[in-house]
Amino acid sequence: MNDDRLEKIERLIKIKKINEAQLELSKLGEEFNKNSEYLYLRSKIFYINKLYYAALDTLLIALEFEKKDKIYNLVAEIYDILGNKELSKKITDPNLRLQAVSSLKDELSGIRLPSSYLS
Amino acid sequence: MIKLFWNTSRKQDDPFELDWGKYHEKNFKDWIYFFLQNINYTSINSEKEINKGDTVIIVDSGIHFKEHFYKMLKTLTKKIFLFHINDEHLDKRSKLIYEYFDYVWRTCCSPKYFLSNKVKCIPPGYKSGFEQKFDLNKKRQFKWCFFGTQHKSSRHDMNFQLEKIKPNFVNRIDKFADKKKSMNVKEMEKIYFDTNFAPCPAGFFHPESYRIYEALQCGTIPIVESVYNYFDNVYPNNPLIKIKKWNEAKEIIDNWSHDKILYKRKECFNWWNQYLSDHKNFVRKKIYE
Repeated sequence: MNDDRLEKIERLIKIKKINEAQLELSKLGEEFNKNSEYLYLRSKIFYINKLYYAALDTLLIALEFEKKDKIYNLVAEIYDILGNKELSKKITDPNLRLQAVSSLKDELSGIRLPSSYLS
Repeated sequence: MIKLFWNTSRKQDDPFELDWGKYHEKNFKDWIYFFLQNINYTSINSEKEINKGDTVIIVDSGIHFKEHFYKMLKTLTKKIFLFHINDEHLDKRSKLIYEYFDYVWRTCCSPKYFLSNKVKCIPPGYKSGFEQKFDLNKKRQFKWCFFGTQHKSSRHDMNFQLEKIKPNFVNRIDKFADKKKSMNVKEMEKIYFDTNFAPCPAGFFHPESYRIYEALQCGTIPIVESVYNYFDNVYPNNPLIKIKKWNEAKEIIDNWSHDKILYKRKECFNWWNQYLSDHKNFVRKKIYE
């Protein structure tokens, strides 16, 4: 967590004030688009609202910036809910997750970001 | 005099919008012209053919780069209408440009237009060439079909959940409008005519996609992703099948009886034709108002 505003949003999510958290997120500017914590919190709200695919896409983009355990864990949890147990299991395993997500992204033409965007 | 000016690939300096403009001009004239069937208009190719006091119908996509042009047309015309196609990013500048028009029809809706008195949302439509020439009662060979890219997780999961349900027809392409791998309208139409269900995952930025309306044109039942209840908000009382996760579609596609499928097919097809007819009348009413 690297910003007071993001910490506040995380607290709001924890106490289930989702609409307020969503409103606070919407106030943040474009400079947060490359912030993995911001993307994780957005995904968390998508996930709570059962918008599983929006959550997954956002988490996969967050992993382009930082490879955090909590991001992998939420990806695995969503695949478990969707019924893709095998993929969920691979992503849960710290030894397999990097390769599993990389293979997944190879199958999706709209997730990988150009290197110019990542720098 | 009423004049129709298709402006998607004219007066456009932005190369991205110009490419899309050409794509729309090539592929979506049938869709827009359908709504204008009851209007007595003349097609024009240049703004020089517009005279003071004319009523003008504009069809355009990248309108954000043409503000001066539309500001000028507003002063010249008696009435000016816009069919704004594409804009799946929901560009914030669109609403400002709409001020220059008497009424606007746009594809890819957003909540700010749900209750608008000046803007009406319409579907993005189907590619030119899709015709309703099929036997609605005929038993169909394929359980489901899909044409398009696998750009995000929804389409990946759709494939994971449904690939074992056969017979199916899938033509997966690597990029939108892939010249090498994309099938043409007549080839796609032939498959749709012989298929029960069309899973329709959301588009790249927006829940809408052309395949929903191409399926409806062909009597194929669309299964759409219900994101924020989009389709019920934009098209109330529609009979489309809505899912939140693709595993919900498995049981429907694999196990529905022929009678149940036929009933749903007719329900969707009749709703679609009623929508088309009602909206064509609405367009006429607005333009002659």
